[in-house]
Amino acid sequence: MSERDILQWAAKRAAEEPQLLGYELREYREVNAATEDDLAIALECPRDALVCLALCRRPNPNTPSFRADVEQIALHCGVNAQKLAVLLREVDSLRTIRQVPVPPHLAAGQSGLLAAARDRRRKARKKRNAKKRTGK
Amino acid sequence: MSDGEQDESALHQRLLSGDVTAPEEAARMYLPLIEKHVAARAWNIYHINDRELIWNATVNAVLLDYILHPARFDPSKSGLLGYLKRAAERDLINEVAKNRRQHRGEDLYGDVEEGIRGRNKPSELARIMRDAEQETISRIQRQRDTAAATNADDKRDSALLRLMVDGERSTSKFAVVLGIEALPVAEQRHIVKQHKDRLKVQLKRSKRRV
Repeated sequence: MSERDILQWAAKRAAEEPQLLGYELREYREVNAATEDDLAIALECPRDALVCLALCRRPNPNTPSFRADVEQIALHCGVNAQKLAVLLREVDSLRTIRQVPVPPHLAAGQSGLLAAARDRRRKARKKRNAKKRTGK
Repeated sequence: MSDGEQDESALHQRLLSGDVTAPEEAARMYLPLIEKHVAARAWNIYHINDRELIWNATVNAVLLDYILHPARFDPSKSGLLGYLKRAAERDLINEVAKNRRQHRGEDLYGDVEEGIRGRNKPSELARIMRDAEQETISRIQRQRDTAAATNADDKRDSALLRLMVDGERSTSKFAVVLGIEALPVAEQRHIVKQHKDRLKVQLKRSKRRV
Protein backbone atom coordinates (compact mmCIF):
# COMPACT_ATOMS: atom_id res chain seq x y z
CA MET A 1 0.00 0.00 0.00
CA SER A 2 1.48 3.32 -0.94
CA GLU A 3 0.91 6.74 0.57
CA ARG A 4 -0.70 7.81 -2.70
CA ASP A 5 -3.34 5.07 -2.48
CA ILE A 6 -4.73 6.18 0.84
CA LEU A 7 -4.72 9.84 -0.28
CA GLN A 8 -6.57 8.91 -3.46
CA TRP A 9 -9.11 6.97 -1.43
CA ALA A 10 -9.55 9.96 0.88
CA ALA A 11 -10.03 12.22 -2.15
CA LYS A 12 -12.74 9.88 -3.39
CA ARG A 13 -14.50 10.05 -0.03
CA ALA A 14 -14.06 13.86 0.00
CA ALA A 15 -16.39 14.00 -3.00
CA GLU A 16 -19.25 13.23 -0.58
CA GLU A 17 -18.34 15.98 1.89
CA PRO A 18 -19.79 19.43 1.12
CA GLN A 19 -17.13 21.12 3.27
CA LEU A 20 -14.36 19.89 1.00
CA LEU A 21 -13.36 20.92 -2.49
CA GLY A 22 -13.71 17.35 -3.73
CA TYR A 23 -17.47 17.87 -3.52
CA GLU A 24 -17.26 20.81 -5.96
CA LEU A 25 -15.01 18.89 -8.32
CA ARG A 26 -17.49 16.02 -8.41
CA GLU A 27 -20.39 18.40 -9.11
CA TYR A 28 -18.42 20.02 -11.94
CA ARG A 29 -17.63 16.63 -13.45
CA GLU A 30 -21.26 15.52 -13.22
CA VAL A 31 -22.65 18.70 -14.80
CA ASN A 32 -20.10 18.71 -17.62
CA ALA A 33 -19.85 14.91 -17.99
CA ALA A 34 -16.11 15.42 -17.58
CA THR A 35 -13.46 12.82 -16.79
CA GLU A 36 -10.60 13.41 -14.37
CA ASP A 37 -8.37 14.10 -17.35
CA ASP A 38 -10.81 16.72 -18.64
CA LEU A 39 -10.81 18.33 -15.22
CA ALA A 40 -7.01 18.36 -15.06
CA ILE A 41 -6.92 19.99 -18.51
CA ALA A 42 -9.51 22.57 -17.45
CA LEU A 43 -7.42 23.51 -14.41
CA GLU A 44 -4.13 23.29 -16.30
CA CYS A 45 -2.64 20.89 -13.75
CA PRO A 46 -1.36 17.31 -13.53
CA ARG A 47 -3.90 14.66 -12.46
CA ASP A 48 -2.18 14.21 -9.09
CA ALA A 49 -3.04 17.81 -8.21
CA LEU A 50 -6.74 16.81 -8.21
CA VAL A 51 -6.16 14.68 -5.10
CA CYS A 52 -4.58 17.67 -3.36
CA LEU A 53 -7.48 19.92 -4.44
CA ALA A 54 -10.14 17.44 -3.34
CA LEU A 55 -8.78 17.43 0.20
CA CYS A 56 -8.72 21.22 0.62
CA ARG A 57 -11.52 23.07 2.34
CA ARG A 58 -14.08 24.50 -0.07
CA PRO A 59 -13.72 28.27 -0.37
CA ASN A 60 -17.01 30.13 -0.19
CA PRO A 61 -17.58 32.31 -3.29
CA ASN A 62 -19.79 34.63 -1.25
CA THR A 63 -17.12 35.66 1.25
CA PRO A 64 -14.52 38.44 0.85
CA SER A 65 -11.73 35.92 1.40
CA PHE A 66 -12.73 33.87 -1.67
CA ARG A 67 -10.01 35.24 -3.95
CA ALA A 68 -7.27 34.86 -1.34
CA ASP A 69 -8.48 31.35 -0.49
CA VAL A 70 -8.47 30.28 -4.14
CA GLU A 71 -4.98 31.69 -4.64
CA GLN A 72 -3.73 29.87 -1.55
CA ILE A 73 -5.19 26.57 -2.78
CA ALA A 74 -3.90 27.08 -6.32
CA LEU A 75 -0.40 27.78 -5.07
CA HIS A 76 -0.50 24.83 -2.67
CA CYS A 77 -1.72 22.29 -5.24
CA GLY A 78 -0.12 23.74 -8.37
CA VAL A 79 -3.19 24.63 -10.40
CA ASN A 80 -4.23 27.73 -12.34
CA ALA A 81 -5.88 30.05 -9.80
CA GLN A 82 -8.01 31.86 -12.37
CA LYS A 83 -9.37 28.65 -13.85
CA LEU A 84 -10.08 27.29 -10.38
CA ALA A 85 -12.00 30.43 -9.43
CA VAL A 86 -14.07 30.23 -12.63
CA LEU A 87 -14.83 26.54 -12.02
CA LEU A 88 -15.93 27.18 -8.43
CA ARG A 89 -18.15 30.11 -9.42
CA GLU A 90 -19.70 28.05 -12.22
CA VAL A 91 -20.57 25.18 -9.88
CA ASP A 92 -21.90 27.62 -7.29
CA SER A 93 -24.07 29.42 -9.88
CA LEU A 94 -25.50 26.17 -11.21
CA ARG A 95 -26.30 25.08 -7.68
CA THR A 96 -28.06 28.38 -6.99
CA ILE A 97 -30.09 28.11 -10.21
CA ARG A 98 -31.09 24.56 -9.33
CA GLN A 99 -32.24 25.66 -5.87
CA VAL A 100 -34.46 28.51 -7.16
CA PRO A 101 -38.02 27.21 -7.53
CA VAL A 102 -39.57 27.53 -11.02
CA PRO A 103 -42.35 30.21 -10.94
CA PRO A 104 -45.82 28.59 -11.22
CA HIS A 105 -46.77 30.40 -14.46
CA LEU A 106 -43.60 29.14 -16.19
CA ALA A 107 -44.06 25.63 -14.86
CA ALA A 108 -47.71 25.60 -16.10
CA GLY A 109 -46.68 26.98 -19.51
CA GLN A 110 -44.12 24.23 -19.92
CA SER A 111 -46.56 21.45 -19.21
CA GLY A 112 -49.11 23.08 -21.57
CA LEU A 113 -46.59 23.07 -24.39
CA LEU A 114 -45.89 19.41 -23.83
CA ALA A 115 -49.58 18.57 -23.78
CA ALA A 116 -50.16 20.44 -27.06
CA ALA A 117 -47.30 18.63 -28.71
CA ARG A 118 -48.67 15.28 -27.64
CA ASP A 119 -52.19 16.17 -28.89
CA ARG A 120 -50.90 17.15 -32.30
CA ARG A 121 -48.96 13.90 -32.73
CA ARG A 122 -51.94 11.88 -31.70
CA LYS A 123 -54.17 13.69 -34.25
CA ALA A 124 -51.63 13.20 -37.01
CA ARG A 125 -51.51 9.49 -36.25
CA LYS A 126 -55.33 9.33 -36.28
CA LYS A 127 -55.39 10.99 -39.71
CA ARG A 128 -52.78 8.56 -41.03
CA ASN A 129 -54.77 5.60 -39.69
CA ALA A 130 -57.98 6.94 -41.21
CA LYS A 131 -56.24 7.33 -44.61
CA LYS A 132 -54.97 3.75 -44.39
CA ARG A 133 -58.43 2.47 -43.60
CA THR A 134 -60.06 4.35 -46.48
CA GLY A 135 -57.17 3.42 -48.78
CA LYS A 136 -56.61 7.04 -49.88
CA MET B 1 7.23 21.38 23.45
CA SER B 2 9.16 19.57 20.67
CA ASP B 3 9.24 20.76 17.05
CA GLY B 4 6.86 17.97 16.07
CA GLU B 5 4.40 18.92 18.76
CA GLN B 6 4.63 22.58 17.76
CA ASP B 7 3.89 21.69 14.12
CA GLU B 8 1.01 19.50 15.26
CA SER B 9 -0.42 22.27 17.40
CA ALA B 10 -0.03 24.90 14.64
CA LEU B 11 -1.79 22.67 12.11
CA HIS B 12 -4.56 21.99 14.60
CA GLN B 13 -5.05 25.72 15.11
CA ARG B 14 -5.23 26.25 11.34
CA LEU B 15 -7.89 23.54 11.07
CA LEU B 16 -9.88 25.24 13.82
CA SER B 17 -9.65 28.61 12.07
CA GLY B 18 -10.93 27.16 8.76
CA ASP B 19 -7.69 27.50 6.80
CA VAL B 20 -8.38 26.15 3.29
CA THR B 21 -5.24 24.07 2.76
CA ALA B 22 -4.90 22.78 6.35
CA PRO B 23 -7.21 19.75 5.70
CA GLU B 24 -4.99 18.55 2.85
CA GLU B 25 -1.83 19.04 4.90
CA ALA B 26 -3.33 17.17 7.87
CA ALA B 27 -4.55 14.39 5.60
CA ARG B 28 -1.11 14.01 4.02
CA MET B 29 0.55 14.01 7.43
CA TYR B 30 -1.73 11.62 9.33
CA LEU B 31 -3.44 9.30 6.83
CA PRO B 32 -0.35 7.19 6.04
CA LEU B 33 0.60 6.90 9.74
CA ILE B 34 -2.88 5.87 10.85
CA GLU B 35 -3.27 3.53 7.87
CA LYS B 36 -0.20 1.57 9.03
CA HIS B 37 -1.60 1.35 12.56
CA VAL B 38 -5.03 0.21 11.30
CA ALA B 39 -3.53 -2.35 8.91
CA ALA B 40 -1.44 -3.88 11.72
CA ARG B 41 -4.41 -3.90 14.07
CA ALA B 42 -6.71 -5.45 11.44
CA TRP B 43 -4.24 -8.24 10.78
CA ASN B 44 -3.32 -8.95 14.41
CA ILE B 45 -6.86 -8.99 15.75
CA TYR B 46 -9.13 -10.00 12.85
CA HIS B 47 -6.66 -11.58 10.39
CA ILE B 48 -8.05 -9.16 7.86
CA ASN B 49 -6.07 -7.69 5.01
CA ASP B 50 -8.85 -5.92 3.13
CA ARG B 51 -7.44 -2.69 1.72
CA GLU B 52 -10.77 -0.90 1.28
CA LEU B 53 -11.89 -1.78 4.80
CA ILE B 54 -8.60 -0.50 6.23
CA TRP B 55 -8.76 2.66 4.11
CA ASN B 56 -12.34 3.34 5.16
CA ALA B 57 -11.54 3.01 8.85
CA THR B 58 -8.51 5.28 8.40
CA VAL B 59 -10.33 7.93 6.37
CA ASN B 60 -13.29 7.90 8.75
CA ALA B 61 -11.01 8.58 11.70
CA VAL B 62 -8.62 11.10 10.18
CA LEU B 63 -10.71 12.95 7.62
CA LEU B 64 -14.30 12.70 8.78
CA ASP B 65 -13.84 12.52 12.56
CA TYR B 66 -10.87 14.84 13.04
CA ILE B 67 -10.17 17.08 10.04
CA LEU B 68 -13.80 18.03 9.48
CA HIS B 69 -14.44 18.37 13.23
CA PRO B 70 -11.15 19.48 14.82
CA ALA B 71 -12.93 21.01 17.84
CA ARG B 72 -13.76 17.49 19.04
CA PHE B 73 -10.08 16.93 19.83
CA ASP B 74 -8.97 18.32 23.18
CA PRO B 75 -5.14 18.70 23.23
CA SER B 76 -5.16 19.02 27.01
CA LYS B 77 -6.43 15.45 27.35
CA SER B 78 -4.19 13.50 24.93
CA GLY B 79 -1.77 13.69 22.03
CA LEU B 80 -3.24 13.92 18.54
CA LEU B 81 -1.66 10.72 17.25
CA GLY B 82 -3.05 8.71 20.18
CA TYR B 83 -6.45 10.31 19.65
CA LEU B 84 -6.44 9.42 15.95
CA LYS B 85 -5.29 5.84 16.62
CA ARG B 86 -8.09 5.28 19.12
CA ALA B 87 -10.64 6.80 16.74
CA ALA B 88 -9.34 4.58 13.93
CA GLU B 89 -9.58 1.47 16.13
CA ARG B 90 -13.22 2.27 16.85
CA ASP B 91 -13.86 2.85 13.17
CA LEU B 92 -12.14 -0.44 12.34
CA ILE B 93 -14.50 -2.29 14.70
CA ASN B 94 -17.46 -0.57 13.00
CA GLU B 95 -16.17 -1.39 9.51
CA VAL B 96 -15.59 -5.05 10.40
CA ALA B 97 -19.09 -5.30 11.90
CA LYS B 98 -20.60 -3.60 8.83
CA ASN B 99 -18.70 -5.92 6.55
CA ARG B 100 -19.91 -8.99 8.45
CA ARG B 101 -23.50 -7.75 8.37
CA GLN B 102 -23.25 -7.30 4.61
CA HIS B 103 -22.04 -10.84 4.14
CA ARG B 104 -24.54 -12.43 6.50
CA GLY B 105 -27.40 -14.02 4.59
CA GLU B 106 -25.43 -14.73 1.47
CA ASP B 107 -24.99 -18.40 0.61
CA LEU B 108 -22.08 -20.37 1.98
CA TYR B 109 -19.95 -20.31 -1.12
CA GLY B 110 -20.71 -16.65 -1.72
CA ASP B 111 -19.43 -15.95 1.76
CA VAL B 112 -16.29 -17.93 1.21
CA GLU B 113 -15.51 -16.33 -2.11
CA GLU B 114 -16.49 -12.71 -1.51
CA GLY B 115 -16.22 -12.25 2.22
CA ILE B 116 -13.06 -14.09 3.03
CA ARG B 117 -10.97 -14.10 -0.11
CA GLY B 118 -8.31 -11.43 0.06
CA ARG B 119 -8.60 -10.90 3.78
CA ASN B 120 -7.63 -14.30 5.11
CA LYS B 121 -4.46 -16.31 4.90
CA PRO B 122 -4.49 -18.84 2.04
CA SER B 123 -4.32 -21.64 4.64
CA GLU B 124 -7.38 -20.23 6.41
CA LEU B 125 -9.28 -20.01 3.12
CA ALA B 126 -8.34 -23.62 2.29
CA ARG B 127 -9.58 -24.74 5.72
CA ILE B 128 -12.92 -22.99 5.23
CA MET B 129 -13.33 -24.51 1.77
CA ARG B 130 -12.50 -27.97 3.17
CA ASP B 131 -15.07 -27.55 5.95
CA ALA B 132 -17.71 -26.50 3.43
CA GLU B 133 -17.00 -29.52 1.23
CA GLN B 134 -17.06 -31.82 4.26
CA GLU B 135 -20.40 -30.37 5.31
CA THR B 136 -21.86 -31.03 1.84
CA ILE B 137 -20.55 -34.60 1.82
CA SER B 138 -22.00 -35.22 5.29
CA ARG B 139 -25.36 -33.81 4.22
CA ILE B 140 -25.52 -36.10 1.18
CA GLN B 141 -24.53 -39.04 3.36
CA ARG B 142 -27.28 -38.20 5.88
CA GLN B 143 -29.82 -37.99 3.07
CA ARG B 144 -28.83 -41.46 1.87
CA ASP B 145 -28.96 -42.84 5.40
CA THR B 146 -32.41 -41.43 6.04
CA ALA B 147 -33.72 -42.72 2.73
CA ALA B 148 -32.41 -46.18 3.55
CA ALA B 149 -33.68 -46.00 7.14
CA THR B 150 -37.24 -45.18 6.23
CA ASN B 151 -37.22 -47.37 3.19
CA ALA B 152 -39.16 -44.45 1.90
CA ASP B 153 -41.05 -45.63 -1.07
CA ASP B 154 -43.57 -43.08 0.07
CA LYS B 155 -42.67 -40.02 -1.99
CA ARG B 156 -44.31 -37.70 0.46
CA ASP B 157 -42.26 -38.99 3.40
CA SER B 158 -39.09 -38.77 1.30
CA ALA B 159 -39.83 -35.14 0.52
CA LEU B 160 -40.52 -34.40 4.19
CA LEU B 161 -37.29 -36.09 5.23
CA ARG B 162 -35.31 -34.15 2.65
CA LEU B 163 -36.66 -30.91 4.10
CA MET B 164 -35.77 -32.03 7.62
CA VAL B 165 -32.26 -33.03 6.61
CA ASP B 166 -31.78 -29.70 4.87
CA GLY B 167 -32.68 -28.00 8.13
CA GLU B 168 -35.85 -26.43 6.75
CA ARG B 169 -37.82 -24.72 9.53
CA SER B 170 -40.63 -23.09 7.59
CA THR B 171 -43.98 -24.76 8.25
CA SER B 172 -45.30 -23.58 4.89
CA LYS B 173 -42.74 -25.69 2.97
CA PHE B 174 -43.80 -28.83 4.86
CA ALA B 175 -47.46 -27.85 4.40
CA VAL B 176 -47.01 -27.78 0.62
CA VAL B 177 -45.58 -31.30 0.65
CA LEU B 178 -48.44 -32.49 2.81
CA GLY B 179 -51.01 -30.67 0.69
CA ILE B 180 -52.43 -28.78 3.66
CA GLU B 181 -51.45 -25.24 2.71
CA ALA B 182 -55.11 -24.20 2.56
CA LEU B 183 -55.64 -24.94 6.26
CA PRO B 184 -55.21 -22.31 8.99
CA VAL B 185 -51.57 -21.80 9.99
CA ALA B 186 -52.07 -23.13 13.54
CA GLU B 187 -53.55 -26.32 12.17
CA GLN B 188 -50.77 -26.62 9.58
CA ARG B 189 -48.20 -26.30 12.38
CA HIS B 190 -49.91 -29.04 14.39
CA ILE B 191 -50.11 -31.48 11.48
CA VAL B 192 -46.54 -30.77 10.37
CA LYS B 193 -45.31 -31.44 13.91
CA GLN B 194 -47.18 -34.75 14.01
CA HIS B 195 -45.53 -35.86 10.75
CA LYS B 196 -42.08 -34.75 11.89
CA ASP B 197 -42.44 -36.62 15.19
CA ARG B 198 -43.64 -39.71 13.37
CA LEU B 199 -40.65 -39.66 11.04
CA LYS B 200 -38.22 -39.06 13.91
CA VAL B 201 -39.61 -42.06 15.78
CA GLN B 202 -39.30 -44.10 12.61
CA LEU B 203 -35.68 -43.05 12.27
CA LYS B 204 -34.90 -43.72 15.93
CA ARG B 205 -36.25 -47.23 15.57
CA SER B 206 -33.80 -47.86 12.79
CA LYS B 207 -31.02 -46.41 15.07
CA ARG B 208 -30.33 -43.49 12.82
CA ARG B 209 -30.96 -39.83 13.40
CA VAL B 210 -31.57 -36.90 11.09
